[in-house]
Amino acid sequence: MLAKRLSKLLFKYFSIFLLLLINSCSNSNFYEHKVLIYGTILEFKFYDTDLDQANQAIDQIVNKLNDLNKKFHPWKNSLISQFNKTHQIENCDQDFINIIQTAKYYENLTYSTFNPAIGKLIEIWGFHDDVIKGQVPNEEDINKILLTQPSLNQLLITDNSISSNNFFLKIDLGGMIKGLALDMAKQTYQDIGIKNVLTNFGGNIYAHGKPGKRLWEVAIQNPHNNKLLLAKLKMQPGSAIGTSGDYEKYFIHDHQKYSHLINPKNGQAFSIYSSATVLINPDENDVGIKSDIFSKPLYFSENLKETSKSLQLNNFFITNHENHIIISKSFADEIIWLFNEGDFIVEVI
Amino acid sequence: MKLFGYSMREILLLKLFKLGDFLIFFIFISIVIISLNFYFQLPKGDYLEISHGNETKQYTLMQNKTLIFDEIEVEINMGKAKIKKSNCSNQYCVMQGWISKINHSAVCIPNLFKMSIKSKTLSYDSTNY
Repeated sequence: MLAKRLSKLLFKYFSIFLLLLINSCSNSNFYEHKVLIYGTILEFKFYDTDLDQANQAIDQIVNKLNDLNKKFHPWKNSLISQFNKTHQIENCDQDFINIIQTAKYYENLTYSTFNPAIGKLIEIWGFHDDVIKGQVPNEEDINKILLTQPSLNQLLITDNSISSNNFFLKIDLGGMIKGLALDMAKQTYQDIGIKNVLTNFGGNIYAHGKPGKRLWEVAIQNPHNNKLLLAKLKMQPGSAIGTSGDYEKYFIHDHQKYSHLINPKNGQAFSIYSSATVLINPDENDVGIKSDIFSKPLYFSENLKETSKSLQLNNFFITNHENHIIISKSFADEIIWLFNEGDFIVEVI
Repeated sequence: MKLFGYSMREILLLKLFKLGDFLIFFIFISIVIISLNFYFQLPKGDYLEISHGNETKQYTLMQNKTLIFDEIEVEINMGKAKIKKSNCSNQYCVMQGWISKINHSAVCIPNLFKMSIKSKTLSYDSTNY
């Protein structure tokens, strides 16, 4: 009788133990959410966050992005597409003017190697369309635009209007909009009081806080094969990472690959590099915007050391078409390479 | 079905097994199932570490390659590896077959050869592209 009762008791505790074991395997501290916005994936990974707060943040960020899109879509119905047709718009709100001013600031900071005024060049290369046409423009057309030296400095900006006399100037903020979105997300988290979340907008990542005792960990895709990973990285709270490359939007014509990244200096759609990755330190302002913009000057750089110095950029690497990786010294210490043996040769500068 | 000359019915009637025996049996089976579960949930590794004699070297697993170490031939096939040939007498190492999960090893004691799967990346939160 006693043995029977004892065994029943044992069985009961053993079942509880089993249940606990199963429970402990699930990750209840994380909340992940994905949203598709105009063909770009916006991905959140919250840690230890109130579900209502998380959803509130997601809603606010999505609303802000919708607003951005209404204002800045370079060819669909937006304020900017209207400007690109008429070269004059009025009744702009303060946010809109601020963003144009920010773009202008970074154009000057990068000596126009990031140039949001070359929308016309991007258009004649056929990238201002939902489906890439794959046309190579003739040199004459390119030079016609380059001769006018399109720049946001040619804009007349007032409190509520922008206009320009250069009719070859078309604004395309595609090179900074993802970063801008990350900075808006950062502001939203701060306003709501969310402490730990990783935000990925179309590949650009901003790390807010950290998940418990460890840091957020990010893998970097191999630019020559999107099924493979190139490297892995731990992200300090508040840092942001961005990559520009010729592998996302491109077309191939006569065995030559042309990407949507257009060199503002010569109007060409190719570079000796295949990708450029930058990591922006947490203590800097505009981490998101910088992570988006600063990869462009590197991607078209003729002297990596000089370019990175002028941008005060410590953590970056570039890959070229000959499977070489050139990485800054401080970044090399932080990164863990995951590529296949022999796939790349790493050079530290 | 007969066990030790008794039929199942006879065994139950004779009360050869008591409740406690079934309990032990149940615990034993549970432990086996849980262990197997953990085994199959082990993540895959990233690279192969081979120790041969005094030398230890690392090889990426994401390739198709055959490595030769004097008496031993190792085959790597996109994420998994095995000892393909060996000159040892028992051939235990060859019989081990493919290994692919973290901390799995294959050894050939007569040849002082050991290879194990290692990982530098257990997980990551997001992908930059």
